[in-house]
Amino acid sequence: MTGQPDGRDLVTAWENLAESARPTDDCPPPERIWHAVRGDLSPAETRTVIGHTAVCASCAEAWRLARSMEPPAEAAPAAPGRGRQRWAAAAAALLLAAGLSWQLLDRGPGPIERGEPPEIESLVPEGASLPRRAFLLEWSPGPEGARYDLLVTTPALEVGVRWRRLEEPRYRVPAAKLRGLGDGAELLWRVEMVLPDGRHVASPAFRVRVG
Amino acid sequence: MGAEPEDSPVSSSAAADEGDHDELRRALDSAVRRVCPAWLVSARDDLVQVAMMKVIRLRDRRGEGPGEGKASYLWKVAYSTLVDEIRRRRRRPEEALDEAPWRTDPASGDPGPERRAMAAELGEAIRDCLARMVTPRQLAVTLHLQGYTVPEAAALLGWSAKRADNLVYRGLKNLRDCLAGKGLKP
Repeated sequence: MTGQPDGRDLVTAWENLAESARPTDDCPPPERIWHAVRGDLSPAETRTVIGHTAVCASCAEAWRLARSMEPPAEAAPAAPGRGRQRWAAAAAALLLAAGLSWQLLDRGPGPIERGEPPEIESLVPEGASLPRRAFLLEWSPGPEGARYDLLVTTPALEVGVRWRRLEEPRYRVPAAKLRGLGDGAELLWRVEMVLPDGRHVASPAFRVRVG
Repeated sequence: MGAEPEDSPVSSSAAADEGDHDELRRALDSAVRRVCPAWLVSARDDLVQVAMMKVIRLRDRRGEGPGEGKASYLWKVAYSTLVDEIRRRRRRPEEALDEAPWRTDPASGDPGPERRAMAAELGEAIRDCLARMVTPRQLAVTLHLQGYTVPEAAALLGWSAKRADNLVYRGLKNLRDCLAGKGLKP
């Protein structure tokens, strides 16, 4: 590695560790991570879980997943959780209002505006037949800085293409990759968008045919 | 560690009929679909089914209970089912999660093997540096890397905002110094 990694590099590299992570017997149950994320545990218990995620990429990923799952009826943007620690969030907000400066903008990813994540829609008509030479999969873009993971499978769910961290909301599948498929063969494709704040948004599966 | 918060089964009376099973499946499918990683999409229907079985089994075992409300409970079950599956697959070395049968296309935006290797090196270094950090700074930096603001981190950790701010600042400095010590610097 050459060059000083910036904040985004650090976050991306750290998140990517999950791909090769192996859970251990020390990993807390998923439910415990879920409750820690939502502020349902005591601060001491929460600190224990976070301390584990610091050195366990698998549980750090589980933490991110839990955080990205806000049940619809209980969505609360900008709050770390609910339950007994809501008072603390309110106190922190009051401190902010009082003019306390966080001076974090130069420390990496920085404060994050959290709101309702965007939906991903296919810009390819459902079930459309695409020519092999122009097999362009395209979807609605996310906010600036979003990255996209793309998965293309057969209906039998055999993975054909997996691409990670695409910078543009489109990908042209090379004709050579479609060589083993007959005309009219159906494929499923799906996008997972990684927002600049680290949240993940998954699309439904879309259908397309090889023309 | 203290006691786990109680699980909150779906109302047995409500879940007893077919219509409620459909509703249950839809809710779980929605939850799983929302966060299921792309590489697990092929298992999504199975995950929904497993989550349904968990809910029904818990309902039968415990009966009605107080708790967080139906949506919250269902999403928690969907989440735990998903994490269990991720862990199960990652414990099996024979399943290469990230191997696509096709090679990297430079035009695709994929970073390519060299940059991936560099990112992997950086990731390992971050983990090593975090492991060496004193606990309060480690916690603060971990939440920072997870995208938490200082007020959010303070609330979660039970600290004052000022303390959290200070620990994030010092922890990030530690992290950068540690990375520099590993040659991850110009």
